[in-house]
Amino acid sequence: MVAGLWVSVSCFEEGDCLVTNSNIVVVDFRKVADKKAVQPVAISSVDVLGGVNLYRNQELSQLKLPVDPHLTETHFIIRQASKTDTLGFSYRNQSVVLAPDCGAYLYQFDLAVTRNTFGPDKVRIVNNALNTNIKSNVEVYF
Amino acid sequence: MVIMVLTTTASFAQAVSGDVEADTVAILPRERQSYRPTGLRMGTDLLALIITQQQKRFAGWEVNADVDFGRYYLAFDYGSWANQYTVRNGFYDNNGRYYRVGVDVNFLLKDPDRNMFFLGFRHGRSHYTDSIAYTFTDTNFGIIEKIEVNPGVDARWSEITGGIRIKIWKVIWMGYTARFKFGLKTEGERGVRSYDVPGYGLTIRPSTWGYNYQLFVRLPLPKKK
Repeated sequence: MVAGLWVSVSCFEEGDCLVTNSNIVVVDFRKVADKKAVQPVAISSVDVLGGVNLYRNQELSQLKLPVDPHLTETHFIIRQASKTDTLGFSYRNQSVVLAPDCGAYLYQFDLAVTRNTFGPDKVRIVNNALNTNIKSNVEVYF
Repeated sequence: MVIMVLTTTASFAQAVSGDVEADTVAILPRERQSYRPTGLRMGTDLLALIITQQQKRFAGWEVNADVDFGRYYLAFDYGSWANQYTVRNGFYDNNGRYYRVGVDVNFLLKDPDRNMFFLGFRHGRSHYTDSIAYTFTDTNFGIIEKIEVNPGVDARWSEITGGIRIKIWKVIWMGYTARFKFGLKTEGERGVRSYDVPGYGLTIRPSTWGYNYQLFVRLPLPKKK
């Protein structure tokens, strides 16, 4: 009985490797005139400020913007044919050990908009945690 | 008075006749419970000491004490806990002190040696540091090396306990304690979410189990004259 108890306790010692971390901010474009339905927008380019190019010449209704795990704030330059906008996000990084065999992963929480040239009422955070289960973090209205 | 006389007479009659089975229930005056403490029991967790000797990744000790108030025992535990985990892509460690305080209820009331089988509860508190160092690769930002430290985390939790205490020889006692731990709350976590909390254990599930094998010395307290 003791051995059985020990085995059952041991089985519960390790967590499942259910990895849900993501450093991607999911941004939906929604059209106010069309009852805030998701609408594609012609994008010339999207870049991480001072770094990686993410998109070029595409029509997209959703952007997936990776925040920099080194930092607690990342800015993105979003260029369209007629204008260029900047979106900046702050976030909190927290390292999480799932289990020794699974490893450690970085999760981002407390997402907030720190820079926004779309307009003060044009950008809304709908979920401030980044992970693979979340369908949308930010809505941009146009 | 009349009832007493009749009762006494009836009892005497049964005793004299001898052919009636004693199917009456004796109503004895309830023994008055004394809540005066009779002994202070102090000990240590041998499992913690053995694991410290056997495993490189754990170093800890725990001392335990209880004092009786009738069938109730005020219990106190204090310990040290330092744990290291090698994870797939790095290293996690913690170091801290903890205590638990609570009450055990003895269910062996008539044992002349005061051996006990008990159930009880504890409130646990822990103060510790923990840290992590690991690497991972991000497709956009390259290789990331993370070193994060929580300089001072406070944790609290609850326990339901159960176990035994057995007198081995004179003032030497042994005991087992099983602990069902739940309701963990932490404050002060910064860059790393605590994986292991001193005194509590792994945090990956909402509850966990702990186990002690203890050796005690019980010092009798002076009796009231």
